[in-house]
Amino acid sequence: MPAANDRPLALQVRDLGVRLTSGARPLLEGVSFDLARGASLGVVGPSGAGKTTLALALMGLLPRHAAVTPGATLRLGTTPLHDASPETRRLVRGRRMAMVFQEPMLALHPALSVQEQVAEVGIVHGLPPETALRRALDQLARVGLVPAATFGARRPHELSGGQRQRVLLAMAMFLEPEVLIADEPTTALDPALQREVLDQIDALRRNAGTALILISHDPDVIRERCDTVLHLRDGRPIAPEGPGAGGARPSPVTRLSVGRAATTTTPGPSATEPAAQVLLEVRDLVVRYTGPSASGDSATAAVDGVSFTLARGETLGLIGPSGAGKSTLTHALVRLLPVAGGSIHFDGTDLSAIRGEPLRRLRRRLQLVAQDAGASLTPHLTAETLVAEGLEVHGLARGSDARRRARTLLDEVGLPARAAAARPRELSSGERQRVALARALAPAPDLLVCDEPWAALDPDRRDAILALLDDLRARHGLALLVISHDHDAVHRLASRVLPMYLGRVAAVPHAAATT
Amino acid sequence: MTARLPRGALVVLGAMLAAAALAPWLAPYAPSAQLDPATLAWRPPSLAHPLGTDSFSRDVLSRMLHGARSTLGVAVLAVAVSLTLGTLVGALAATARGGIDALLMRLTDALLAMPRLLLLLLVVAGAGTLDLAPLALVLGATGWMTTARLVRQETARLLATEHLRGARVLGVPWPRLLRRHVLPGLAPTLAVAATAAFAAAVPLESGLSYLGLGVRTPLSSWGNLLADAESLPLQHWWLILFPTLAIATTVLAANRLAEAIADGMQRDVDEGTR
Repeated sequence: MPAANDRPLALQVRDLGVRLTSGARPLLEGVSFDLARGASLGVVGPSGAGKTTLALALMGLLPRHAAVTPGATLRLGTTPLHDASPETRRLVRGRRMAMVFQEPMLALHPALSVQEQVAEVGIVHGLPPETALRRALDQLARVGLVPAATFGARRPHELSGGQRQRVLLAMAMFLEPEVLIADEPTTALDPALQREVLDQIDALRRNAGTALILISHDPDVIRERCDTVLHLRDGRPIAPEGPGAGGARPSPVTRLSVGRAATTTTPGPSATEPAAQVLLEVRDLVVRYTGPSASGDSATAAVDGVSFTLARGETLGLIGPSGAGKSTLTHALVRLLPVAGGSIHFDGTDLSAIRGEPLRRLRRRLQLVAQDAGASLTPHLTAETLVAEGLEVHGLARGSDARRRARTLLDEVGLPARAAAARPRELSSGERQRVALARALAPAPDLLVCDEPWAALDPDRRDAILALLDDLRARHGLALLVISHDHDAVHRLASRVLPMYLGRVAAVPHAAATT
Repeated sequence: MTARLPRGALVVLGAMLAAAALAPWLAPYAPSAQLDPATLAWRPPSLAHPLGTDSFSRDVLSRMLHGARSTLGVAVLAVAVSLTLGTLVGALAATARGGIDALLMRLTDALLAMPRLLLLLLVVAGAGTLDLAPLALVLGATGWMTTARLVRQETARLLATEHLRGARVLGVPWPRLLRRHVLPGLAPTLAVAATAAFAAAVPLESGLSYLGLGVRTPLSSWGNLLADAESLPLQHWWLILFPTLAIATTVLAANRLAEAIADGMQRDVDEGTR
């Protein structure tokens, strides 16, 4: 690593391993690397490879049932961290080493304003509260949340996924740490914002001389942003394959993109069957947030006059930048949010007109894979129990039969056999997303609403999921509403794509395919 | 829940409960046997009677062991009653929301505003003498309010989580939603409520029995043992010291345990594992 010779080291890692205290297989082993000050390291690997585990081990944030194996060396600058006390680790965290998490909703405090949360980082490391609060606003402006005073007063649930991610970035860079670990920092963002946020990370880093560890399953991002790459598979670093193996930009990255392009899907049947039966009809839909809110514009319509139809067996894509109201729309569609105006008809039934048992029965046919799929799984239940529940509550199967079918579904979404008995926190975020998908598919719905269904998946896995969904659509007439900022994936899967912007559908294409 | 439980508190509580359960086998004498009123009354601790004897020449150790049965038995039963009532009220309030929530919580507040001892005295005075089971019922019926508030708070929090929304979208019916997705999440809260309620019930039973309103002779309880010394407490110090020690260590241990469980919950929240 040439850079290491010229510049002092920000981080030195030797033979880092992590295993469960229960003594099962190691989650991570034999990871070694040097990171020079201001340099950047990309970490890539399929979901479940140990990328997040590595980040948590570096931060000293491993859950209590996991521990770093003895013999590992971890040095931040000249400070040894592998044998540091919890108090030393705490003082280092936030000030010298910071992290941007994968699921921003889980990493933010739901009851505190954004400004307070950013300021908190400074306060716990000794800044006077007034100074910290003032600087928090500057920091919010620096990550593009302007006007900062308006955003600063909001609480996390009043922000879009992308905005939350930027709040986390503002917190992480608040004290200009020596090392920034970003765990899939841009999966929730649309491409334009993704670039913007990554540029922001780079700009903030340049000023502060911060070294970056960037975890991503997006090979393009890693290739573009990182000096060196660490490949992980099953918890072990693997040597880059192919002819360019010695270089800093190894070939598996390119191999993955080729593999991705090779899979092609045919357009949905609705393009060729204009008489297809309408399953979902949305007319002039308005959804407002009306909860008690710190900000003045609490009654703003997050969805403002959206209309579209979706036929059986059709795939409709919904794309739009972060904050366009995509997630709000999905929540209204599955009756998690009340409708303020307009109507939603599902197979002829007015969704806002039914409640109680009829609504519950209808839910079998109308399933959602939420954006924060991991958070949507009940933490104390195993994957198998969670998936079987969808069968049981709708009387489709019981007991051992339901569990057997749940295991089949988990297998179909590409999860290893061990996942069935695992609780959500024992799974990686990509694995949790697939559990959520398996659960949504269990009751054999007519319509599946997927909010960023592949956000946490690596390209191989994403292709498999796309193929599975397309197969279900073709064979069982499953209708899909796919929400994403990934234009490429949406266009491959969907026969029609609706662009959404600021709560409105920008242009409504007619029944004929427009892609 | 991954609380680190305090070993000392667990040993104390375990020993007390074991002593209560095994009293008939551990006690050297029958609890109400008057051994020899002429020569053996008011004896300070000795080898034959490690905790001394009382005015009727009864062995205090034997009475303490049997007293643990009534005191702890009443406390455990009272906890079961208050936990059941409190969970029902709290969960109902959080689930129903609106008017029912307001009604139940204002009722809870009103009851909480009255001193519990006064409530107890009213009931006991109205009912006259009470057996152990009715006494426990009354203790439970006046002690569910804190549990109800804790349970309401925690249920409301759980109902607002993403995973509850996930289960609702799946079409999980309400009873099952509460039983499988909410109740297990309540377990740590209930553990805190139970230990805290136990710590409150022990001195209450003792207080009532000391006043002659709870457990009455010939049955013994830690509270009515204290009453045996009332004529000359300083001269007959062993009649005061040992029951008081038993009550104090039990309450301290239960409070310590409640605190440790609450700390464990907080750690789980901090680590995001709940």
